[in-house]
Amino acid sequence: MRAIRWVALAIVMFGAFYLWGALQIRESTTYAAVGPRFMPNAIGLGIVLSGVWLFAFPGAPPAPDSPQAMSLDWVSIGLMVLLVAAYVALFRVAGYVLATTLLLWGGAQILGDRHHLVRDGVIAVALAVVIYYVFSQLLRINLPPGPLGF
Amino acid sequence: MFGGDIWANLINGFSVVLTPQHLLFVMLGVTIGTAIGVLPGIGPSLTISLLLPVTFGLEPISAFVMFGGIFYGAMYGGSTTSILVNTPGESSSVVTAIDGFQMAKKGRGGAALATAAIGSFFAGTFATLMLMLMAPLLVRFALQFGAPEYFALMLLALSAVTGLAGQSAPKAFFATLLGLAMGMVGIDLQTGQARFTFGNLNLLGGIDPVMVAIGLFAVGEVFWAAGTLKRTFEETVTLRGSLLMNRAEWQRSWPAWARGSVIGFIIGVLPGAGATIASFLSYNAEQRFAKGKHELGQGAIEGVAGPEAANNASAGGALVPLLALGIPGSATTAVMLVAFQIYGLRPGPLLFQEQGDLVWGLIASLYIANLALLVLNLPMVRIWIKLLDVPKPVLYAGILTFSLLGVYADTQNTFSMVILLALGVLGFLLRRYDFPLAPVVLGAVLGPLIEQEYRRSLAISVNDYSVFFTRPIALVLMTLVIMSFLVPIFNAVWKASRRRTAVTAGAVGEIED
Repeated sequence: MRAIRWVALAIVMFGAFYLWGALQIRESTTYAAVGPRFMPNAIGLGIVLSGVWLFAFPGAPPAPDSPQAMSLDWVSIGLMVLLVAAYVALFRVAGYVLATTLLLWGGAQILGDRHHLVRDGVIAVALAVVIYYVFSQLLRINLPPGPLGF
Repeated sequence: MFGGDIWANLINGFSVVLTPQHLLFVMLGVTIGTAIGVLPGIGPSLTISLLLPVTFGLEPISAFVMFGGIFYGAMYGGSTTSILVNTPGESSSVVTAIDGFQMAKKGRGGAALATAAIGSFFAGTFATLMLMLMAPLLVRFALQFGAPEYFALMLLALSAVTGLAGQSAPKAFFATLLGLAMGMVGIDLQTGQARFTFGNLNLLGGIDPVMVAIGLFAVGEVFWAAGTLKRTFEETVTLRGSLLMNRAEWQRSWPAWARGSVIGFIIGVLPGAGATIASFLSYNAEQRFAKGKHELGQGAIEGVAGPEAANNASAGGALVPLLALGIPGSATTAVMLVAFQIYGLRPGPLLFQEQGDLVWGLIASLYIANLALLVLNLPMVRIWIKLLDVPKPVLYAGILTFSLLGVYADTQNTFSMVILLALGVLGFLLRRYDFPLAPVVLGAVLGPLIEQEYRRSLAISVNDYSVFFTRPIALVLMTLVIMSFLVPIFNAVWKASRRRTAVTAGAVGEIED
């Protein structure tokens, strides 16, 4: 079975999950005919229908040179997702400047900038510090300071 | 207030905008706009989303003249990358790359940049003029609208998006519904019931559409770059020769600009189509009408002049339904609608009456922005080309940093970054399987509004559903909605049945699925 049909099945399952979620909404007992459940039900039903529709009419397979058929570097994608997850986890603990330096430098390496370790490190530190000061001093938007105070 | 007063209003608008502070924001907007236009992977909707937390402290007029400049500027900047790198800076400049890159290879890159910039100026000014003339007329008409009309209109905007976005109707249909589904999360404003929060207090406030835009477009794009960057090869042409067009090139550009401007504006006003479709339709028109149509594909100047005029005109056109009706037709205008909401403003007929200075100041600023962009993009184009030297890995890491920063600054909450990550993965998957992204953002913005108007309509009519079909304007709009749903279905069924006949006729070669 073609990948797009699996996507269609996933959509149907997501629609079913959404409809289940709609069931959890407490219907109020007020005057209105249209309660808080109406739109979610309609949307959930629509999602299921769109999945069935896509399963029935998946369209022509992607052209060999299109982005859909291209072979992807899944390792880099996975590393990138992990990097963002680590960033979120470290954000408050390590403080903005430290976490962001890691994100910028690590991100550039994952994206393939292997020959510029030092240059990227300098850019990462500089950008993280500038953002931190512009936001916390000029714009008065709080960013977590971390144990080192920045 | 309306009609003959347009010119008086415009003069008032200029007097509002021609102050040092507002001019500064216009210049800032066009500069940022051109920069993100030149850089592939960052578009105007994303940029405006990222700037929202920062602009919150500004006067609304400063913020909106800047957004207007970004919107127009991105359309200018996109062509530069298309012509010199053969990679579009914006999706609306995809077709420009076909002939623009060929021209650059032949040493006519300067002329291609010139026809793109001058055509953009011509089209942008034309579209702003049309916006100024049309929006007040639409406003006068829209003053009669009640809840049922607004409901029908928003439904029409969504169904038009579904019908027009992308190649596959079921995919566009799902994308729209996915956006609507996200819009439902959080406290229901009318009854106070929590929806789809699954006991998580952080979800009570809902999923901000701005976050949806940043997650799908920016974070999704970074994941996409992680998967493809090391496998793509870019061929860059250095800019040779002068930036002047010769006589023959001028003569061939004029008609293409004119056709592109008209096509672009009309497509821009229609919901759901937007700049990319406008540029493709303009290219089609050139294939039919251009003097040099047999050269198209090998470096015909019409192939640059037409589409570049069309994408600029469509930006002006897209502002018509946003300002006059409060209904966005594209991702960028959807984010601008959110910006209005943040300031407690509601675009639509009342905005023209209550916020005349804002609306006319914005319109006046667009004329100024166009002029500034012409200067910025023609004599100074060599400076912008330098931007392309920024190493891609650093650029994408920076996009990621600013996306996470924008979301955190807005919510002061790390949970929002978790949602952003999830939206980024979703955006990556949608892109991999060729689902259109703009309808998701549009759905997330319009979902809560559409539900509100629906319930309001039924409250007015005391639960009588005929309210959507007995008021004449609502009836016309609802008929259009139903038609827009039926046409793609019939189309699909018709195509499928034709395919089956083709099988019986023995023409198996054409069936690949």
